[in-house]
Amino acid sequence: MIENCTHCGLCREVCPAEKLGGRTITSLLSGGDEYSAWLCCCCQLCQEVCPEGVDIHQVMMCERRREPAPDPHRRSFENVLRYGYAFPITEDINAMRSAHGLDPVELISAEQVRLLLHCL
Amino acid sequence: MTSNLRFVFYPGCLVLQRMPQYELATKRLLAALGIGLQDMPQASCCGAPVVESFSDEWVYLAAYNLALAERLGLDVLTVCGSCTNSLKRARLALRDPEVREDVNRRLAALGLSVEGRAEVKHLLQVLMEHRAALKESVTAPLRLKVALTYPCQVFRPGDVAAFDDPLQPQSMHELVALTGAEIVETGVEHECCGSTLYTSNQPLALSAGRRKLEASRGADVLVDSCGNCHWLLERMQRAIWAGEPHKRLPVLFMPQLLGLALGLAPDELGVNSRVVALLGRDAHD
Repeated sequence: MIENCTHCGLCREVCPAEKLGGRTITSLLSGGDEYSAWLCCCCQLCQEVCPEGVDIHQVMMCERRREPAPDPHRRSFENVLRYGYAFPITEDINAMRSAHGLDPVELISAEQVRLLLHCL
Repeated sequence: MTSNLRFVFYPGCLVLQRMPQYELATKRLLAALGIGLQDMPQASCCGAPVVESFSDEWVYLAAYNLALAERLGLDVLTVCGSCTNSLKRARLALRDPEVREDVNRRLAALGLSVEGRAEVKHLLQVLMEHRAALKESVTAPLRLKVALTYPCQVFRPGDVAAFDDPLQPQSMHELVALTGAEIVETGVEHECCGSTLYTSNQPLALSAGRRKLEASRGADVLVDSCGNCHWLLERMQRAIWAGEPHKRLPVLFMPQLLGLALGLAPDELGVNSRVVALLGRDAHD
């Protein structure tokens, strides 16, 4: 886990957000002090190249829970709690599907979502 | 088709909501190859990273979808990187008896249970397993220059994905090579598209997309294999090329490109008119 990090900085070298000037959790791991785990692309490249096998994805998810979430992310999360999907998908979707020659789909019900995620 | 029914189609939220073309092309292509596929009634979000960013309970959502597939006795076919990654990680987590017991307590309320029997495969993985059949089925070789972008989460973590190379995957190259199209190497094929940055930092996401599109300029089309990549690289091109609309590049989903090479009609594959014009074909042919 994170205790194994030697601050070699390899994660930061490969991170797509860092290459573009964003500072993500990989900056934290390699000694930076300004970062946001919400800028992580979840591509898991950092984890793949980490010589110490740190589960960086897990570290980033934990960091996200400590930081305030950007509004669009929070809305996606709330959509999941309400609809079971990251978007407000309702039965209306079947009219669009039909126009594209796709069969209608049966969506998860609000009650099923509640039973699955009632602790959140 | 029921005799060779092997997969249940898992669209994920983004493709279900906004990309019926991807679903359509996937279904038409697999039907042409004789690979049986059915819809997954009552599927939900895969859980990660949307829920995982807030709670460990994401695993209940992923396991719920795996349970639906298991009940049908079918493996799961995914078309996006994040869904593939999430469902594969959940399946691995379910090997732990404590996790499995906890998850099954939750699923019992829905009349479901899960063991982790259903395999999870991204479309690219399934197509690679059928590339001999695919090669034989090419009846309309493509005279196109094609740039590629790989869906990073399909291949990583390498020990979870267990498909292709986690750092330098080659499956998209191999599949496109079957079509006769010329592959334009961009040098950024394996770089993350950056689409998930859009909800945190729009300028950063648009510069990520621009970088990839600029590197693809020598190609007629860019081909992707993930709803997230497509969303940034195709749907957001208007914003990426604000004031420079002449730089817009057609983007196809992999099954659209392969379907064209199999002689399927462009409109059957949801291929837009600009690409149809490039191909010099009628949309209905």
